[in-house]
Amino acid sequence: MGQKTISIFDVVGGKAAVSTEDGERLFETISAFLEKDFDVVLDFANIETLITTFLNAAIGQLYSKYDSPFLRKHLRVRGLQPEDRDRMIKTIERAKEYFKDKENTEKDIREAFDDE
Amino acid sequence: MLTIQLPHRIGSNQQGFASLANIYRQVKPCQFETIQLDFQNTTWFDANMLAMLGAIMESAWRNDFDIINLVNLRPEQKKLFKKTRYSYFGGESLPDHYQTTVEYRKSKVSEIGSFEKYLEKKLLVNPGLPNMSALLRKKIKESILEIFNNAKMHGNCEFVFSCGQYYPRKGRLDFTIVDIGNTIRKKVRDYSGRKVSGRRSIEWAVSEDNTTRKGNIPGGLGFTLIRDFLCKNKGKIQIASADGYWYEKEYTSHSEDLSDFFGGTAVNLEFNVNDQCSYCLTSEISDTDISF
Repeated sequence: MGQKTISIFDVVGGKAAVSTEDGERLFETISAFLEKDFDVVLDFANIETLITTFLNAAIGQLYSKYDSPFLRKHLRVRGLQPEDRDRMIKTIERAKEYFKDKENTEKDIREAFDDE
Repeated sequence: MLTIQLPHRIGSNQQGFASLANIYRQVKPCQFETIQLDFQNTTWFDANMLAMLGAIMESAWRNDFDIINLVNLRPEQKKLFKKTRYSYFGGESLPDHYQTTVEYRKSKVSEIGSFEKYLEKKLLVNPGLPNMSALLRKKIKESILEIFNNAKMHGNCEFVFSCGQYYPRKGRLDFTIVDIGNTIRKKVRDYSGRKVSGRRSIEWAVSEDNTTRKGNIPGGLGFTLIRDFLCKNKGKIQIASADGYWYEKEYTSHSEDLSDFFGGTAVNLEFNVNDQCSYCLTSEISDTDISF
């Protein structure tokens, strides 16, 4: 099993990782490498703007295909700006919650508005 | 011909949103109509609120082929509108010597990259702004981009309208982003199957982890991060959509009915640009601490 490093700067073509489309492309690239049994390193060097829309599509979406132990073993990040690490952690936590509770979400929202 | 009198003042507040929603409600049923927006009584118009007026006028032109004229504008207002390069004046602009406005812009929702450059060039390098930390600039930009993407993901709209105003004495930057598309109420009603009010829909949509998304891309985090930042920054967020209005300032939120219906979503972000706090770097997390 080998290792592949993906430069986010190259994927998005600049310093701003902000669009869902770029996030989707990164998701597809990560998935393709993982399917071929590569370990994947995501290199965020030189990324200055990072928002949840991109992270949800690129990272959050991975939890629709893979479980946490698998991703923990085969995926790493580096080069994140210190202030973006918290954002990454929140995206991961949110994705885990989202896919864990997906079936119950619609029931929950109806219950939230039961008095309407 | 329909003539609509504008009120004495259009500010960045519930009354300002309601006044513009009132124009939306009157203009909406018109087709092939000539409409006059009469500014005779209007002595104040926050430049950032041009985003909402622009969205309303654009919708009337594009969808209903109306002709809208602005009449009896005071010279100082005309000057302000031109400083923002408001599209009504065909892109004609006046120099903004004190650099207190952020250019009006109509952006395609598919062009977030170009919107990001507009923020960088027209907002963040504005020489009129105080010397903000790199972190504060980054947080301001990311907050606005999150709202832009929300309009794209949920608004089902083609364009997003934006404009800003900087108040040097108050140390405040107001930036408004508007789309004419699905209201938050419609999205929440469709998703929940309940006849939810506008104000409760907004309350639900801005709460942590809540999202109307159903696919494989999670959501429900963007508003949480913006609210967290703006509370620490001592800023303010306001949202007007359908018949609802909501705001949050310094950890206190409040919602109420909007007196008129607005068929889109307007978000006003108010930043404290004199913020000297290093509010963000409280954790000592390293890349290796990020556990999937």
